[in-house]
Amino acid sequence: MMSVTDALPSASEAGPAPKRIVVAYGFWIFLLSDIVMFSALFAAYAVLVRATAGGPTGAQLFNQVSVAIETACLLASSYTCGLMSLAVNSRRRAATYFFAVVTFVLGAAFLALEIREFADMIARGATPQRSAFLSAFFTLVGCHGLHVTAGLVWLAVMMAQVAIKGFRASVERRLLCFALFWHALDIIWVWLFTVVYLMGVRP
Amino acid sequence: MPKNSATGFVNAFFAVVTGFALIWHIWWMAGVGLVGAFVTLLVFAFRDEEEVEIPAEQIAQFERRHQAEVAP
Repeated sequence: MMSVTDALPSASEAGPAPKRIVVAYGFWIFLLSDIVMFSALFAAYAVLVRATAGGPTGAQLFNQVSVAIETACLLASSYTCGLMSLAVNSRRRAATYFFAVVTFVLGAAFLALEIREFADMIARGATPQRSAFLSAFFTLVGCHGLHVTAGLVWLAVMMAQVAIKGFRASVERRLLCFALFWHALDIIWVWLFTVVYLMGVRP
Repeated sequence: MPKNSATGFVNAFFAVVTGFALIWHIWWMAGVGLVGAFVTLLVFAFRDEEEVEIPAEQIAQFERRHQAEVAP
């Protein structure tokens, strides 16, 4: 009788891991390096948050309602991104397009609100040059906004790839990486929301 | 094996263009660099053949030739 250990080759004999595993692993390493960068920006912000140089503080600048809507948009887009991944797994093309469009619209709404918030702050004289606090704020939040912008471009390109190339293995791997990227951005926003906006309005 | 591609080299070129333009505040050139890098990436992402397969016989041939060369 054959035991389980006879049936399965040892790790060294099994050959290389499936490409899907290798690609996801490599993308996780990229995400971790991205998180290292955000950690540095968070640390800089935490150090400089009181260095307002007589200028406006976070409590005077942040609009809680607008930020709450931004957060809701981004969290909802992460949910629809998860639904898109499910549609991709079961090869449902129409559902994939639908949830991709919803994810894109919610992400774009987040970005539009953030740009409006930035423009409003700059119009009130709270530019990145005003104080060390504002330099750190625009660097940290702007870096996240740039990531969301890149994510939206990536999502649009992936939909073009699904339309032109279909659900081939390479396209599925890229959609997997996109989902990882989008959820990572969401996690970073949760930290950002807590550290910048919630702790910023604390008296 | 992954197929050979010039994407890395071309993207490095556009990265240099973008970096130079950003340092000297030449905004149109920064735009050219970013668009160039993006288009290069698109061409790479939309290629159809991503891998080449080297037949076992060819590798065996290389190996035999190498053995013959290094043989005393």
